[in-house]
Amino acid sequence: MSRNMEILNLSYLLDQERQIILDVLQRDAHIKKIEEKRIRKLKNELLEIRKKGGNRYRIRQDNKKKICVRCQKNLGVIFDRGQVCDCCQLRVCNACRVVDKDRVWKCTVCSKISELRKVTGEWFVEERTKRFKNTTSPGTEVVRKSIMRKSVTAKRFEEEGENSKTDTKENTTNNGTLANAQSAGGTDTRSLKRKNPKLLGKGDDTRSIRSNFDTQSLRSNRSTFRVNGVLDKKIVKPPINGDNISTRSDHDTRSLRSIKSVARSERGSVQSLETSGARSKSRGSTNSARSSLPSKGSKTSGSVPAIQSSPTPSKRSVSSHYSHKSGLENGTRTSTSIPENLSMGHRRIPSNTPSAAVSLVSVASDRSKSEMDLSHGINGENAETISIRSKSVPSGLNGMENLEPEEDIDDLVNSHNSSQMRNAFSETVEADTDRNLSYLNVPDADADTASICSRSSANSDVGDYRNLEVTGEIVLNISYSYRTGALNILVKACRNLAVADEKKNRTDPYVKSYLLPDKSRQSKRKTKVKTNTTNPDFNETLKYVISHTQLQTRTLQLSVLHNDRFGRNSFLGEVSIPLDSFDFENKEDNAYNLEPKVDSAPESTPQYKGEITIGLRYTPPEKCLTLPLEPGTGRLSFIRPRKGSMQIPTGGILDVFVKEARNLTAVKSSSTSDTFVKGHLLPEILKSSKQKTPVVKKTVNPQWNHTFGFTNLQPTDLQIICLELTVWGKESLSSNVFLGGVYLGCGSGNSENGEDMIQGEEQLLWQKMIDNPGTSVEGIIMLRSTMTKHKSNPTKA
Amino acid sequence: MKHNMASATDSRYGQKESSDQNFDYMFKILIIGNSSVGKTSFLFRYADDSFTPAFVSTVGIDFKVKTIYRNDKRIKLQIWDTAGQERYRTITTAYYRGAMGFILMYDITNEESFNAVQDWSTQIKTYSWDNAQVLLVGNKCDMEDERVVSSERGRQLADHLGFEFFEASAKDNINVKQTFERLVDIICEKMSESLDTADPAVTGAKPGPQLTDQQAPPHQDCAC
Repeated sequence: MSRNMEILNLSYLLDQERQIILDVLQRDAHIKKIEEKRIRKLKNELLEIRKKGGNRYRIRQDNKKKICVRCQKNLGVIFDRGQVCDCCQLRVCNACRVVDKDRVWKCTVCSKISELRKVTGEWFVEERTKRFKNTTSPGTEVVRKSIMRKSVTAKRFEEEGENSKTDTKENTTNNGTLANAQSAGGTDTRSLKRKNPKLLGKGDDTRSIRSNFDTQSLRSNRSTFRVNGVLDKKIVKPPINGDNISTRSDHDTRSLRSIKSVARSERGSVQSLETSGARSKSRGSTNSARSSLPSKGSKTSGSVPAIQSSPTPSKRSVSSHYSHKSGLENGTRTSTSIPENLSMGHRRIPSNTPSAAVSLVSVASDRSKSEMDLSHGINGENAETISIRSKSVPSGLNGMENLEPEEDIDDLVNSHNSSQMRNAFSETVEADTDRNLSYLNVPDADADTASICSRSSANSDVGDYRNLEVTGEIVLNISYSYRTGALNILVKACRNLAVADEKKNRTDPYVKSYLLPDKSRQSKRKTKVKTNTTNPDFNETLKYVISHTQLQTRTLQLSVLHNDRFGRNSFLGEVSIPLDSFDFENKEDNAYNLEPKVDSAPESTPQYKGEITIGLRYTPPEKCLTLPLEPGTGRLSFIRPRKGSMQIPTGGILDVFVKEARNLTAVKSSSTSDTFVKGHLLPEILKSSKQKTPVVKKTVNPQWNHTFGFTNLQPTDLQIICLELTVWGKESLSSNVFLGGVYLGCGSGNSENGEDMIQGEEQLLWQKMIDNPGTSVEGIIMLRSTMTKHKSNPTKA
Repeated sequence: MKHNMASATDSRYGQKESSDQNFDYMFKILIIGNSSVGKTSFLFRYADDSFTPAFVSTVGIDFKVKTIYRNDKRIKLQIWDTAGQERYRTITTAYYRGAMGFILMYDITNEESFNAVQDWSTQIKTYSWDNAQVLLVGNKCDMEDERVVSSERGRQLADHLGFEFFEASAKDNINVKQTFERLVDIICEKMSESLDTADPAVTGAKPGPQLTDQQAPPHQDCAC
């Protein structure tokens, strides 16, 4: 969610407690889902009513006739003369009114709006105090993330030390189970494997211990402190220790929990299968490999296999308590792998990025760890590692919400994304192709990565749609896991497919999916190709890691294609499943009839894309002359070249105050978007009129508070021109994503552009501006999901 | 293990009330107060009409959903039951924001729980949004013999804090429903108030000249 989301310290929770709370959270998520569905429905209704009230100004001007703004009906002289709605000051007929209980009435749109504010609970949210401005994330969300992360601050470890032993046991079993689950579902990534040894060299046992306890026992933390005490000479800061510990072990929870972090968890599972002996061996070797590092301790390798015996007494005291029981430390190791990799050239970043939603912060903590690893070198000695770690974790991390590191990691990720990430990514994909586990939300990974392409090249996006009839059906089992945030599409089989290559009487089908509207590679998944059958059994799971809220804005499109080795792949049928109304509770297989390719016409029904708040002010030329450029006007970057007078604009000035937007579509994995607004005037003669706001990052409710200034506009121009504002999600290496837009203008019919598209509120606000020269008028306008005039190819920012 | 959980949640989802979309408003209500004052019992009485004298400490947070019909509207209540224990405080306070109504509960047989009301009220002020509504409830009013907090003191404190006040008993089902309904009513009042004060459609603009009224009188050829 928002980057300002605070993280609670829930590390004191026992495992059962966490489980109970997670169950509650899950129930809550379900309720929320229903609620969101309901609200979306209502918002769409409003959108439709508004669209109806389209062309009132044109008609008003043309015919001088009174009509109802809502239904366009003509109004009478004596009966049904229409009345002006108090809210919007527009005249509506009797039918388009909704009467409140106190005999007060509003027009349909206004009443719908206020009803929406009630039913959505917005009335309440809006009035919250300023101090909560940055923490709009619902409590559930905070708790969920915190609990998943199980993070930070060992500050308040209260009285549950007594339980630690049992806890550890439970944790262990828990880890074990989960680890198995992972290894079952996990994938092997070569790059990761290669790194394993290094990882191990870092003193896994300590880590494992740590993970175990910080899975919550106070006691264990205390014991760490003890360890540190012993090591104090080596610059230890004991109090911080607990924090680091818990921070680290988060990972394991996280990875256990979410297949988002697959790359990570899989590596955990790989290791978990190894015996401890093997582990210690590999550890030893890596340690020696590391001996070149400056601060390497002498006891290194010996100390590591805590299960056998460790030279450092203090360490033993810790490990003996826990490591026996723990047996498997997968999760822990898993987590460690991240910083390691990060520090080793950031190969693993790609796999981190997708999980960003869950854990930017914790990645950040990893990074801090890795940094420290680099700076101090790695002592194979566990205890030492602890101390180093504790020392190097930035104070921001320890104290509270890990805010700053989060940003840092972002930068870090960005800076490394482009280069190394690809390599890693390609490897992952290769190793992983069958599973089709890739990450929906890694924006950069998409950008022409050779690896992905290579695979997709076999089956070009453009199928051959020519003459093939479409027959048959596809059997699917679609489920969503709240726990891992993954949409799993089990493609079971297809039946009665059409024959693709009639000459050879051959069909080599495979299934490809997109989560529309995203048609990029990030959103593409494929099954294997089954050869020579029209009744292929796939039994493959296509997986998307995506938050549930985002999911509701998506449509799952599955197409069946014939894989032609030489020619173009032919299209065998497709099915589109809107996910906003999908019943994920239905656990059964469903057969869907395949359908012919639908023209990708813009959706007929408007889609709710959020709303934007805009202020408009037109300062007519006469006023401009008296105060040519008032400072408060904002920047005037566009000067329409007319009669060569560049110094003093001769026309009026149009200020467009782009204030904020709400409920934008989230395009990033973190359920946010980095957004900006583009504005320009149509018709296109005014090419240079294009203006942009700065990018506001990581929110779906951005506040730009930016003013576009358009000068040299005569009052008459206002009847002709049309202002187009479009909201974009910024993507650093691929095309920006269109998030919605509005047209503002009077739609008076003179403009070749504005003619029919400007409707409802868009017109109203413009007209209001014209009617109130010199004053600014503000309005909230629903974003369109499609722009008529818009080139479908988004432009680069 | 995983399996069991899945099926457990499934059955829960099957419940009609939680998946019912047929309502007008959704209110979130939070019950807070010291440990063992009867928050969970109160909720169970209201939502399930059940009561069990055994004390089971709530873990962190829980909720129940109940849809009621009030003021001609179907209102879905998501009632959050919080753990009174201090150790869960970080979790419970996270739920204060977004809660439209609070039931602040004490136990009339427990002086300490009454003394803590002031603190709880401070917590609300600190963590909740400003227009959240609060009711003060003295629970266990069936246990008249063991009463240590008089109704009068309860009422005075409520007045002092600006909350409405009820004495109730989850065990004997006294004033439970009334408490929730009153809270819903107060929230509804607040809601219409806040909607009246803010003009939803187009804000920030001075009401311009009334566009349609400036026009020439309508033509004769109208529909009627």
